[in-house]
Amino acid sequence: MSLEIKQISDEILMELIIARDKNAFAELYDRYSGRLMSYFMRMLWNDRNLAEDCLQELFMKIARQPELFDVTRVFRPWVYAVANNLCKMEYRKSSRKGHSVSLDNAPELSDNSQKITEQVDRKAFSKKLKEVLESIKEPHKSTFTLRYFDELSLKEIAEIHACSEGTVKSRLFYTLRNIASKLPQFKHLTS
Amino acid sequence: MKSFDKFSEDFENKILEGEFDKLSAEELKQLEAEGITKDELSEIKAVLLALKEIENEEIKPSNSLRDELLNAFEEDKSKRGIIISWPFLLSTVASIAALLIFVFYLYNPFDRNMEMKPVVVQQMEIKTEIKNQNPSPIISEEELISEVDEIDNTEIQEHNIISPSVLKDSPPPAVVEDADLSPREKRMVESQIHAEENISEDIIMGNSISPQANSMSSKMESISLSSVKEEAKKGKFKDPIKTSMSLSQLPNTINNLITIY
Repeated sequence: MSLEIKQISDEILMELIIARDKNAFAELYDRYSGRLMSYFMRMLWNDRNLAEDCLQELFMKIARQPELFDVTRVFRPWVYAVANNLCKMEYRKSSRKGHSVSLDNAPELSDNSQKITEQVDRKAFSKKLKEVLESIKEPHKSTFTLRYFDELSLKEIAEIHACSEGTVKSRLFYTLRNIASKLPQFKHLTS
Repeated sequence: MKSFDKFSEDFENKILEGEFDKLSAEELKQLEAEGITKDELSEIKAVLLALKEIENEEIKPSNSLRDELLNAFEEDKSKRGIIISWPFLLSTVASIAALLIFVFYLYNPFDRNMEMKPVVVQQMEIKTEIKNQNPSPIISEEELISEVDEIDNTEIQEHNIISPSVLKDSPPPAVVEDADLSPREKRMVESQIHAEENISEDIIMGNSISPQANSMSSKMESISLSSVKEEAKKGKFKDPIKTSMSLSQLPNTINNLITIY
């Protein structure tokens, strides 16, 4: 039974959840909890508690109102769209507290960090990249995250953001260019 | 950014692999037109390579969250009982609405032009239409009289009375002019005429005919017609055009009256 349920598609699992199948709900949680937790972490200032709260809220919605999902559609873009909406709500809350920072106001890396550029490895670069990512505004941040961290296709991202694929492409390139411009000291990694 | 609409996954891969030499002349021209230098492309490449390492990280939520959610799912399941999903509810409402629209279409209470007729009248109209489409075979008056005679014969046998055929052969009553009659004779003639009229009425209403009345059976048709005409003149018939009817129409009329009442 457990082997069978692991082979079932996300959409069929949702149909089973609508029919109140607990195993299907557990399987869906196991498939998506890690990915969504990481997504929330990236999107919500690496705040673990906040990310876990959002993850709980999302799965509570699925548990209580699974019929909100249209079974004729694809599950992955839908669940990420819900997650993205939860993040937006958190942004609204945090904007009142003055939490968000725009890309244009992103902190430049310190002179000290630039001096040790030659010694840092890719992990250090990753850490700095996360810092820069924190400063990117929506919808560029989620577009970038969905593409390069969650590996969603351009089509799926377009569906989540309800825009064209062309818009997704231009957003991605704009974000890449801006991030790269904030991290010029790491370009040696490409050589 | 319009020129970057052609930003494909293949283009991404070329940058990621640092294979700028593999970029086509058209692609390089496009990048230069946008003011993107080789240095900038190197920076982008560095970002994309670093992303490859970061994306492998997957943060797991706490185990207690899983149990909490599964318990919540179970509780919600027991609370629900019968699941009424939106699609089911919508389809039910839609089918009821369709039924109401159909009923409304059939019996529109707001349509004043529509003539509402009682069911009995509608049935009568339908029957009349069917009859008009399939008219009953024409029966001559002689055949009808013979049928009446047959009925009479059975009644005569049952009630032991004089046969109408015998009475039919009897001579017609004498017609006496007013000037030649005495008052006593006049009264007798009047009473005889009155009796004849009563007989005709009995025939119309379907009553049985007495032997005495049968003496006038040969003149039954003319008597009945005259009485019907008189009744028509008095306005007893609703149809203003038809003031008379033949004896052959009598059974049909009786049948219609029976059907209505």
